[in-house]
Amino acid sequence: MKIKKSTPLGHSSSLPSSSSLEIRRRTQLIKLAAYSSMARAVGSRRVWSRALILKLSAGKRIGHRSSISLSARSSLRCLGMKRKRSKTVTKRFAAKKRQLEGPCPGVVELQRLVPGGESMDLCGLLEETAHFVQCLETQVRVMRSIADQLP
Amino acid sequence: MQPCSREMQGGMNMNSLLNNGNNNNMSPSHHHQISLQDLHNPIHGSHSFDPAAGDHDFLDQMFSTINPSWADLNPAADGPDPAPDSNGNSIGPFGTHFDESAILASKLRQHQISGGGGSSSTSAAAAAKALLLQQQMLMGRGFERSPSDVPGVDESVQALYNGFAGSLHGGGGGQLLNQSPQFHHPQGGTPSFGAQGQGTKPAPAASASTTTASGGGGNTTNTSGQPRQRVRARRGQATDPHSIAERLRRERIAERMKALQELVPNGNKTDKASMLDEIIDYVKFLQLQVKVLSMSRLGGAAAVAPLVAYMSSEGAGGGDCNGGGRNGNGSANDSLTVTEHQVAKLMEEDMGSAMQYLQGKGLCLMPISLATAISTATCHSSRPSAAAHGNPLTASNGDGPTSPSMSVLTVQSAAGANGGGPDGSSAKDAASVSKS
Repeated sequence: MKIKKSTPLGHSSSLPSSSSLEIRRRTQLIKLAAYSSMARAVGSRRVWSRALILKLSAGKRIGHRSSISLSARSSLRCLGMKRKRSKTVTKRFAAKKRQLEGPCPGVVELQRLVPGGESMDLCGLLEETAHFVQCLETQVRVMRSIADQLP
Repeated sequence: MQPCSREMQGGMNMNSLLNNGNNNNMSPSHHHQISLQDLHNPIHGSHSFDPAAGDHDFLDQMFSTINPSWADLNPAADGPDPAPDSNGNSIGPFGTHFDESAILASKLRQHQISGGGGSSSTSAAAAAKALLLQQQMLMGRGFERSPSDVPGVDESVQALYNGFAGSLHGGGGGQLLNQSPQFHHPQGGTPSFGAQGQGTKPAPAASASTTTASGGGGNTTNTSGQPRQRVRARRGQATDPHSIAERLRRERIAERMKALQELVPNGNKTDKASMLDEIIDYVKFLQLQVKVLSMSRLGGAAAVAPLVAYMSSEGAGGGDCNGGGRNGNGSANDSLTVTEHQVAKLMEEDMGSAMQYLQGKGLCLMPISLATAISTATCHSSRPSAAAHGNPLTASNGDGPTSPSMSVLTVQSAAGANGGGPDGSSAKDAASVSKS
């Protein structure tokens, strides 16, 4: 597990009472750090990790607020040419299949939850979800142990 | 009786064939006839034997009578006939029919290969013998196996067909063509009794999903000798490539759902849709845990309050409240007050119902001493007031002892504590994320 140097976890308790806005900003930072470290640990092995990395890097460059709207577009644009073709092909095929048989609403919901899930059919989506759930569980355990160790 | 008679017909055909073929040969013809007659005798005998023990005897008999003729069939070897005892011994230890048939098939193949250079009639005789043997074994199986056992029969039958047909094709495709009509008849005869009413013709087609290399051999040997590769579908399913792909896809999805079932707690749902809902809820819960953990150390009930608002608004069926934010805080306060009043009312009548009400909201009751202990142990609060805010992740549902001295954990929101409450115990509910 890579340790992000920028994580502000260590500094939190030393600061005096801060406004809720400040707290919220710091919470967001910590959360982003957690997700980016998780995605970087997985690397390019998984679709969701790649999509997460792209989203986070795009968000850091442009600004956190607009990162969410850009995530889908940037994830497609920043990928290499070969990947892009295969991904758009898969997306088109998945879209066509969706039109044909109309997935249950759970599938749409899951696609929204799992990063990079919009361009996947149910089969790949389930696999990505399994790996994503595993990594999330590990992340929660790590964060909890960190939080327990802090004074 | 009827199957036996048909088999006898087939046997007669074979017999005549072999006789004709053997008359061209020199010495072993007589021996062949004798061996065939010996073969026929066991057929008669097989009617009356009991299914339990008779099978091995039957096959041993067959092997003992046949094996001398195998040696004779080999044109190169001219050795003396091996004694039936040794043959019986060599075959005896075989436990299953499948082994015997496999060994027979391999033996046949060897003979085909070795006898391929021989005269056409010899190889034809060998093939004919092989088919006759096959019929015998099929019949033996058909007689002593119950109809419920047929799938097993089909497999062994399929293996037999593959073995023999493969060797037939490999051995002498052109040579057998003129004899294939006669072969077809016995082969057509066998399915009627070999499979107890289920045609083995469609049954080999239906038993395995893929065949061996010479898959076309499972079909009639009437087709030309080129082996054709074809994917056999299961019984009752089409061989359409689209449906095959569809089936593959469905199987893959099913196995992935099973893997997810093990990961997700409460994964015992059989329905796919409800399983999907569970998965979605679990992913949302994990993401929420990450979010809460990222703010757990930052201190202040203000950090936790949006979470409380979110949780309580969810519990209240919050269509009208937004979770988080100032608005959420305000309405959450209202909903919290409502909840608090409700709980107080319930507590007056019955503790159990109050507990159940709280549990339905995902909240719990906790003695103040314990709450303070937890709060001082885990969280630092900048406010000097003795407000205890629980760690929202402690899922302590159903923990609280039902004693009258118990009070409800208080949570102070950023908007200021709504003191009040009866007897100084401000009964704001504790938010505990319960994942049971």
